[in-house]
Amino acid sequence: MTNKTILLVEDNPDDVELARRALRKNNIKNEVVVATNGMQALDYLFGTGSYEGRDTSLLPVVTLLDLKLPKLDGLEVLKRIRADSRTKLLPVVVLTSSKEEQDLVNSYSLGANSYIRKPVDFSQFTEAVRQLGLYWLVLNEVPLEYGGH
Amino acid sequence: MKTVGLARKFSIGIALLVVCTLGAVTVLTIINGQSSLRRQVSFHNLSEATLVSRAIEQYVVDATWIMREAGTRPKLAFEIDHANWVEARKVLVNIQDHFKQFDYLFIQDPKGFITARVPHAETVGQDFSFRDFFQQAIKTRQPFVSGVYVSKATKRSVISIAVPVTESGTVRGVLVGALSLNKLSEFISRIGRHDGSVLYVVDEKGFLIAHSEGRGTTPPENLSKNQTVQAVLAGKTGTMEFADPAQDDNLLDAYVPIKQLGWGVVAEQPISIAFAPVTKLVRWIFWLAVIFTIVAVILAWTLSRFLTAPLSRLTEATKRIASGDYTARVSLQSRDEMGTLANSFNEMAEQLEITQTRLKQEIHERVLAQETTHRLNMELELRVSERTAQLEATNKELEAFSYSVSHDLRAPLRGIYGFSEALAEDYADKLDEQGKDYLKRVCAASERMGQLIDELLQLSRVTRSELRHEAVDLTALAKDVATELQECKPERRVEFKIAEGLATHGDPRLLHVMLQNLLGNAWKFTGQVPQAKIEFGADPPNGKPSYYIRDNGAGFDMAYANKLFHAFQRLHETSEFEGTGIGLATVQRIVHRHGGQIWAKGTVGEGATFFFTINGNGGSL
Repeated sequence: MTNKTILLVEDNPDDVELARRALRKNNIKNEVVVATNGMQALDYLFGTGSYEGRDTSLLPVVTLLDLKLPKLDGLEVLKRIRADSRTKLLPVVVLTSSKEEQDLVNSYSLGANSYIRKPVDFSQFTEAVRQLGLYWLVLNEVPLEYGGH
Repeated sequence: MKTVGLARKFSIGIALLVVCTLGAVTVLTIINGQSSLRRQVSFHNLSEATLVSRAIEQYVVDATWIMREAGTRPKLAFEIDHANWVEARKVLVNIQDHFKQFDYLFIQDPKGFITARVPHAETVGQDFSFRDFFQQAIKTRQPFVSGVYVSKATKRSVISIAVPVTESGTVRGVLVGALSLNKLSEFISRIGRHDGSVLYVVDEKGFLIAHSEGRGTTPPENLSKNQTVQAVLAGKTGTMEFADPAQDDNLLDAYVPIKQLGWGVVAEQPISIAFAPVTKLVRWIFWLAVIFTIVAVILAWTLSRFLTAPLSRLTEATKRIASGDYTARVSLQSRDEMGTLANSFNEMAEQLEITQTRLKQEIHERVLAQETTHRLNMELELRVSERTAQLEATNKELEAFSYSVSHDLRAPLRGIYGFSEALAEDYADKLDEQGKDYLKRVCAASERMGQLIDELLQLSRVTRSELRHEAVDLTALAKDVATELQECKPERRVEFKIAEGLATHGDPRLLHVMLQNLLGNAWKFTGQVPQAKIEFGADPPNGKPSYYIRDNGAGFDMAYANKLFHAFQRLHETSEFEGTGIGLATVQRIVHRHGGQIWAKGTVGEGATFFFTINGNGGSL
């Protein structure tokens, strides 16, 4: 289980650190790969750019995707993930501080598995991430092809 | 064209009138003239026939009397008795000398042999005992007038008068005088009128004795088949009209019998001749009618042209007006109805022209006004679309701004809060009480900052979001909000009094936000009242009500009532009642977007009442 990574797509280092801390606090030991923009996230997933040569069969167990990103925004990243056959079933949880309903609707219509608002109240955020850990990391209810080849 | 038509009609009418009148007069004249002529002709013919019959009777009676006188003369009897024929012949010559109506005279002996004859003696010695007049004279010893017959000696038609010559009661001979029928014909032809009418005499057997035209007496023509002849020989007097097949004409006959002789007289006239005066008159009337008609038509034509000339001018002017030439006028110096009509027409045309000019001007003005309006509308539309575009751009900017605010303002805040929390959790043992207090304040401040951002976003969303229109149950909404509030702070005792059946039309999401704010305010400001009361109702309950939310909380000073609905305006210290000062601004926007009004009344320490109305149709931005 520990060799399974969590891909965190987040440009704000504070939020990265807080997310790392929340995961750590909840005893989630998975390696957290951080992509600070959308392009980097896609490079990681498809083994391109700076991740050239990466074994793309090793997909992250979950992707935490911020919507507001430089270069390529979160919704566009989500769209490309869903458009590729290798990643179309990858669990994606949209993380955002936005309260815009439109973001929620767009995320779900593009195939987000869950939607978690980054709360200012960090305890709620931690709770949300812990729930994610319970569902996706601890219980590991990911479809078999993720585990397999 | 029309005026000519009128004149033609008038002329034809007059001609018809004249022709009809004259026709009627002619027919009446013919009928009347014919019947009167028939009467007149019949009467005339009858009197003529009567005259002739009397004359012939007299002629024959006179001749008979002469013969009787001669027959009774003793000298004649003596000479016959003594067969002294030379002397006897002298007597006969004497008679013929005196009475020219006798063609010839002769004496027969009692056996019928002719013994003497004047003027010629060719038949003397011949036996003429077969003659009826001889036999009748011998037999009756009375004078006898024979019918017509052809004389053997002269080969002419004659009638003879025979008288017996007696001496001492014995018949010594018969004296016979043959009457000249030529003379009779001459006589009646003198009476006749030579106008196509004829007179004729027939004997008792129907043989023609005399004819005014000298027709068919030698040998005598037999007319016994003739119906007039049959009537007159039956002793009748009268008139009759019958068709004459030979002449293709009707004949008008009058007949009178000569009773003493058994003969008849007929006066006959062809109808065509009898009615000639009428025919002539009819011809006259016909030509008169022709002349009258021509004259009448010419007169009528001229008169109607004269009468319709003003009419045709009026018609011409009317046509011009109808075709749009309103300057058309009729000049007619006449004091009759035509003149009045022309004057009225001219007045009417004048009015029309004025009205037309005004109308044209008005139309022109209207067109101008319409053009102006159209141009203004176009400009307005352009401006509206410009403004709309501006507004849309502004809205987009605002949206982008809000989005940035919600993300970008929140991010550092999350950092502040998150790391303060981490500090408090992970390093609490390394901080003294003062440090812990500071950290707590940092957390509270950032939490309040987050709340402010949320409410600001809500305010802008209330302004921007599209307004829905549907039935909203305000009572149910208010009850939901009250329940939420109670659940947040179960320890508080607040009496909610929410009126039943409050319903309106509007956006349920926005109205929910509005009630959340108003009831939330009431809840908040009654926080320090032991027996808090919050009331939601409507006044009047039906129709177009004003809704109100009343509480018995802290209230407010009416002097600041106008500041209530401005964003970030607060009437209370934050330490007293927490809040951002955005809630009522949001409420006001929601009410305004629903086409309503909001206002408040309050007294410090006694509570506040918020009134609002909602226009069912909803307003817009």
